[in-house]
Amino acid sequence: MKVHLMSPVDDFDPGLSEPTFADDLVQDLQLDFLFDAMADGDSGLRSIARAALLAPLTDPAVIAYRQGAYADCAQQPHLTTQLYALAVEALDLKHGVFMTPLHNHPQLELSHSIQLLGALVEQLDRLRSFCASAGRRFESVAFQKFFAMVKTELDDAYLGRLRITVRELSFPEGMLLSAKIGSGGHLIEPVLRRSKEENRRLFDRTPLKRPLHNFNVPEGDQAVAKALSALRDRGVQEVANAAAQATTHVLAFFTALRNEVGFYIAALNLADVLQQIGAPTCTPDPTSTSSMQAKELYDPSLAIRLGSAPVGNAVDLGASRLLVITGANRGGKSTLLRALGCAQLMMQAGLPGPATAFAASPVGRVYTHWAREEDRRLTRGKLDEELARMQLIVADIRPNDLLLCNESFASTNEAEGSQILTEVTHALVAAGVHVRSVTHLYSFAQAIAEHDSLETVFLRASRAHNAERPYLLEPGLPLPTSYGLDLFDTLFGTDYANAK
Amino acid sequence: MQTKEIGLFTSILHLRTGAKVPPQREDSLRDLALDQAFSQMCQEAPHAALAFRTLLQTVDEVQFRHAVFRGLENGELRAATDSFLKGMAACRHQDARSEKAKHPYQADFLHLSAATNYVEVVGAFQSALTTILPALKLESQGWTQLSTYLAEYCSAPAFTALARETLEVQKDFTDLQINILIRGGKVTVAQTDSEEDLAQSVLETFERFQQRGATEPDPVPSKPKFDQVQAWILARAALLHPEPFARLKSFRRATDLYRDRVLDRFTEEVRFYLAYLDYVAPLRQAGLSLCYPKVSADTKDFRVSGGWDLSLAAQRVAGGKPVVTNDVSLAGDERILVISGPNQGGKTTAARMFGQVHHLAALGCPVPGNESRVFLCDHVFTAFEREENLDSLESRLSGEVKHLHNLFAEATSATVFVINEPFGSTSLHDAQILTRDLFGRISDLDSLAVCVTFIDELSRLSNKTVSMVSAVDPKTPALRTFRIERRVADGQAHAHALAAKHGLTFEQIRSALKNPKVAV
Repeated sequence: MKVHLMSPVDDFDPGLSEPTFADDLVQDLQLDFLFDAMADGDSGLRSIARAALLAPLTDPAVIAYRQGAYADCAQQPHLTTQLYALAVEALDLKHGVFMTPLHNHPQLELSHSIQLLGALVEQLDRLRSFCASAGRRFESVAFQKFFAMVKTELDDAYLGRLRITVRELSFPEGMLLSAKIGSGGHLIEPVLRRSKEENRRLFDRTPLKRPLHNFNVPEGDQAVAKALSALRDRGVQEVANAAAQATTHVLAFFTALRNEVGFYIAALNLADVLQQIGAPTCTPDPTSTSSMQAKELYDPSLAIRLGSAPVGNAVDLGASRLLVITGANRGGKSTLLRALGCAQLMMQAGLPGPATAFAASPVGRVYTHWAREEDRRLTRGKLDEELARMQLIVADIRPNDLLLCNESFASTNEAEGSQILTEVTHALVAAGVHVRSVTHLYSFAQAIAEHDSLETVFLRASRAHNAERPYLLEPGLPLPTSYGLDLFDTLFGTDYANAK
Repeated sequence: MQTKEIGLFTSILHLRTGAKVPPQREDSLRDLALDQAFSQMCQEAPHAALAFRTLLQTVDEVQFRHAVFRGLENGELRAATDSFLKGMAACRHQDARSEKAKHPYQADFLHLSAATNYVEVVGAFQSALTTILPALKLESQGWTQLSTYLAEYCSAPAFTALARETLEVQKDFTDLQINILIRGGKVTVAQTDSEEDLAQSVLETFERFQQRGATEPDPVPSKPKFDQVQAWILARAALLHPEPFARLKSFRRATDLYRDRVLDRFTEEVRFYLAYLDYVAPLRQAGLSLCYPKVSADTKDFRVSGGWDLSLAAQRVAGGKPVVTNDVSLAGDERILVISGPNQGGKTTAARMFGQVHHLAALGCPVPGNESRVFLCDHVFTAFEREENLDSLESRLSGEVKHLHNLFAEATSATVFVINEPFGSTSLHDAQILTRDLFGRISDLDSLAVCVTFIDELSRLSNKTVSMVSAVDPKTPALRTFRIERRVADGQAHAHALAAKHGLTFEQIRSALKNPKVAV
């Protein structure tokens, strides 16, 4: 019994180990704000959100599958919540039962499994009823498949069988075994049997063929009691195993249900938050052949942090793999870089995109190489640290992955930094890696511009900024200056800023 | 069920039953260091202790054993024998448990099991022998007679009846099934009534919950011990199905003594061979050779090439150290080997080897060496220094003399003497006289002997004596080689080398004195 609400073939595992550099990515893109919004206070949902965002899907068909399921949940938020609650309730049942492994005590293991299984069967019944009534309100392929699976696997007849089995395995009227006699007189081949009702007689209700021969185990005789228990253990060994496995499987099923529906609950939480602050969202198009095209793209973490809809930007990368963003400080460059990273991750998690329109081809993994703000004061060894980090990234990164660089190698002088960054960028892009780089290094930008083969797209923080759109970026080759010339011009009445 | 002894075969150790021969003296075995080797071998073969100590009387008995040994050096025959022994031991074990059984019917079942096992094991061995032996083309009376005996035994009515009855009684129980209903402390036993398999039904119900790669089910525990509850159930099963149980009981009564005495004896005696082969196996693995000696009752010629000491080799191989081999021979009129030379040079080891080879050859065993020719002796007598005697020198000498006197009272011309450093507790003068006397007596008997002594002129006593000397490496005279060579005894060589090492040769002292040290 598989859930498959987040992918048609794979199971979603929030416990999977995170990729290397996950923490860097979370810190650099400030994803914690995103996770918090998705969690809405539930630490379980937070883990699910984090796991989903850090495991980007690369198949557009699977992304579409998830988007379809999300659309259903967005249409039916109450039903989604109910379904989630069903799964959580099922998992709470296991806290009532002592569940340590009991391999050498089959009878005990069996009785625990049966106790839990009995309660889980009722929960499965509730799930079945829910699916029967809610089924027609969900249109996505994902949910259709799920409801069909529940209908087939958990039909009336089967649930009835489960209930009977649970009852029988608590041996309400004693345990019946058949056995043969082996060499040495041992009892061998114990087989658990179902007694025949027709063998019961009026006065002695024992359901066995007459004649009967009885004996009673004397009370207080430990050795004999132990021997009897050992015989019972042998009798139930096989079913104890099967029951334990069945219980584990049903719990795993409900766990998967909780995780996958939880993901959509988290997605709905995010959509709510963004809607409340008036930030637009869209359904991203993962089938685009363009590297990336977006309208009114914004950084969702910033929006959540500020509690208001930030300025959006238009970006069109065409088929290019390299984007270089230059321009004044505080011009919104880092924010745009974050927005690009977040949007990519969100699309590849099947979530709505932070823009009015977003289309991109999926990348493999997302890496970040950020100048660490707080390190800026320490100049000694800083370049080493940056180089070391870049080295680790280069060792791991593969073609079609995405690298976001924010002021890389700014810790040394422009000539040196430019040279290093040029080489690294050129090599990575030529090898098929997507790079988006925010930088002050003018020589780097120049050198890159001279390599036609790279088909670089350049954006720069606009000088034509105004109060309404303070953080607008426009396409354009890098300028060798920032605002230093403007300032001089203002005071000295010169016009150097416009000379170039 | 008694079986009368069919055919010629009685023992795998002896060609014919003959007069009882007294075992060798313990002190000789100790001196030859064979006692350690034998006691290790006897750990797997306690009944063979006597066999290791008793020498064979005729050459054909020796050859009889050689052939049996050769057979067991074949992998298949060895494996078949091992399995037979294992099976028979299991039967004996079950018989013992049957005797000790506390619960009714338990003894009967164990007996049935033992008898079934016996039939199977004997049958298997018999067919193994008929398959393996012809292919080996071994000329072994022992194996051939055993094979014939077994074939006749297995086709005899007593055995075939046993085989048939065990099967019939087993069959009664193969399909016998009972129902056991356990309600708390109350157990009810009844006949089965084709009840449905609940476990199977449960497994089918849970099948859709099977996970790929789920944990392996717990291994089914091995056969549980028989206990009181099973005994009570068994008793009631007997009430439900009286006939099979009655047949079981009468089977036990009728077949109480089902085992064949001859085969039982075989399982004990054959261990003599197996224990010896197992003892020497690691030594062979380490590269040492054993060979089947040419044994003669007529000629006293002796030869071993590449010989070594059995016990010493076992120790050295266990410690990963190399073993030195030696060639020793006596021919024509030669009777007495006189071994002299520097101490710790391997003389005593060589003397032991001489004694060991004679003893082992007379047991019909393969002996250490590449090639060997040995006389079939009647005793190996030893006279070694008694170190454990802390008495005064006088009583040591008297002890030694008494001992020698006892030996000579029993010795015959077929006796072999191994004498190590005689008369060490008396003066050189006396020792020379006494040792010469000893040699005279040995010569008169025309016995074979080896004597380790520093009185090297005795090696030139007569044409019966042969000198061997422990050799030194000419380049490093102080180093032992543990080789002994046939050559004229020259007590001087080694002493000279020792002196040179310490600057005390004639030339060194002369040079030293010629150039006196400058006084400080």
